[in-house]
Amino acid sequence: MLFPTFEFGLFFLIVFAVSWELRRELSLRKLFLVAASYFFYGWWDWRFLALLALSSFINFSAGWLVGRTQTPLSQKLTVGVAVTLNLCILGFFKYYGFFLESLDDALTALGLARDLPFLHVILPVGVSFFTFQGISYVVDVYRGHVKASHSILNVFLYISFFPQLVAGPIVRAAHFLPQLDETPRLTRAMVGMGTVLILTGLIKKMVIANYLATQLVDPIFFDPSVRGAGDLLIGVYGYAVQIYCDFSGYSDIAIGIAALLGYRFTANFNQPYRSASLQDFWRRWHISLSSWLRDYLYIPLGGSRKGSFATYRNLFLTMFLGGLWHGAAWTFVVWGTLHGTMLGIERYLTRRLNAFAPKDDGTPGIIKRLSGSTMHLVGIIWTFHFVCLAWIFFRAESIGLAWDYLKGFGDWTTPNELVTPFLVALIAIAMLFQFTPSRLGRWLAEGIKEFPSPMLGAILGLGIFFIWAIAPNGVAPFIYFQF
Amino acid sequence: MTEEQIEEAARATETDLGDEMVLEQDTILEQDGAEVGALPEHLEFENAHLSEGWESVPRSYARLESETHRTTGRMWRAMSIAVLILLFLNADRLSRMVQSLPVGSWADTTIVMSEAWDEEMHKHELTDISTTIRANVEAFQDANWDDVTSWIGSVFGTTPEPETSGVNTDEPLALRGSTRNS
Repeated sequence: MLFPTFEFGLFFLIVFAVSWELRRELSLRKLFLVAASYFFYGWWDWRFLALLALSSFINFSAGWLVGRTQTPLSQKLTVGVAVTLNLCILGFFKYYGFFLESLDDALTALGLARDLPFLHVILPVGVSFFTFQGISYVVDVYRGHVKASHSILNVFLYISFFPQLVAGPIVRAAHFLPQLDETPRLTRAMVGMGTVLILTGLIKKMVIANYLATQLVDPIFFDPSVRGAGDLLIGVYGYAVQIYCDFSGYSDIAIGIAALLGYRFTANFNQPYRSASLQDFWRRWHISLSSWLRDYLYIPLGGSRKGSFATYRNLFLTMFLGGLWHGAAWTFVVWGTLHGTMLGIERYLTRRLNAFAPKDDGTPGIIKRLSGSTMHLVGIIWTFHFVCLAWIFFRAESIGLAWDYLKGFGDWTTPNELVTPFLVALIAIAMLFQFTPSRLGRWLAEGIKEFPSPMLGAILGLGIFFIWAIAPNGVAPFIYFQF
Repeated sequence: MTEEQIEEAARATETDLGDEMVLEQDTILEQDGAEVGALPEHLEFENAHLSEGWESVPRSYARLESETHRTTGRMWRAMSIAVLILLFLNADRLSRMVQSLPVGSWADTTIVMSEAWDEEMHKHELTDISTTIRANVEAFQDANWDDVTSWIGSVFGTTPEPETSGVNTDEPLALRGSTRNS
């Protein structure tokens, strides 16, 4: 069930009405929301409901055991088993085929070809997201960030809550579970923010991302070798905007829906293409994943506390595994490797430059301020183009196609067919909103929250009507569903 | 029941229950404006006990509960209005969307009803707005850089000669695109 569909609209109206009617019966409300979330998930493929329940049960049991046992060794052992089980689930469904195909290729190359036990494994929607949430719960209990839940309903709802179930944001147990023990509240501010987020999310996904996908990105990436450099350039810019609008649009709608049901999620994107460095980019892009990788991978690996070499190694490993998390393909591995390598280079260069020109406390003069702004602008342009370069590998079906894409930039003679005013305008408008005040959404929500219900209804109704009127027919699946 | 009446009831009982407490009955907030006068008579304060069905809650809880009740109602009304707007203005899209419903008698009925509704809205020309918007968007999709240059020229009064661009700039952009398509 996709968000911008008739089915979901009907589903949400029912969930909204019933869940608020049950607000004083917390357990009943949670039970209803779990049932609704399982219905939502089962709409794709009911067979995976058991997998979702199994994952939730494993993590609930592990959390309960960690909470009950007193000795650090047994707690560590429980966490280890739980994390291994979670990774086994993820590994089987997501990486089994990739691993065997890679092994088969390697054996064939070495002249040792064998019949390997290939299976056609269907990837359950959102498996990467709910697995990471499960790990987050068990580790947070172990670290003492959240108490082990005695309510199986709480853990089931935390892992399966439908707004974030299939494509994030990856919600932290320490942030979400305490909300489940409070009586849910719906304030005017939440309604204002929810309305703004849902409408902006729909515009991003249904209008910008869908047009760019169907008219620009898909045709170009299908066979980049027949395209000229101009088309390829706008194609990769278009994909940068498409993936941002697709994923941040989904996150906006998810956060907005959760707000209308009385729950608060943290932001997942913060105008990432205005970043002046790659490190800044990762503070603004898919924040819930980058902070998850930082807290549950980079820091346990040692972070930056164990010397320079270990820091660079940890940075690289984190991004490498982050790339692999996105998908079982070598293109994602290259994408993660590129980011990991460049983060290391950026860190090294920044430190060297800082050593040459240490910061002083004096007020900067005009020349210094000007050079600061220029450097900032250069940083934004460089970061955006490096991210675009990496997106080519992320989007391409194979390394060969990505390479064709890069080679195509040498051909400026082939006429451009896709550099049309419409597509350029879509990209330009989306990029413009990367540089608006970051509190623009909050200001809009502040205005909307005071509106009476007829005006709020008119904004919602006319907003959705206008989006539907200008959007292309049909709804493409969200890109991050495949992860 | 209004906010003021809850506050009044709270003030009446503060002596016995402390500054932070107000009285609330489970159903109070469901009864906007009804049975308000009966509130003080239902209270008994002997030995700080309350009559059955009443419970003490923090004042902030009552305020939040009251706000939640009002905001939920407000949101529900807003969503109903939004659905009505979509039903009237977007009937054609609705009739297309329901085609994807799973096969069954319920789905068949829904499809037939939505098609009948769409026809009715067509008769009353309510679907013209979305048709016009879509025509403009499609024209913009089909426009090339010459069209845009001519259009900008016509807007800012620096129109190049129509003969050279081959575009009649007196026509709106939408019409130009749709003419070319046809």
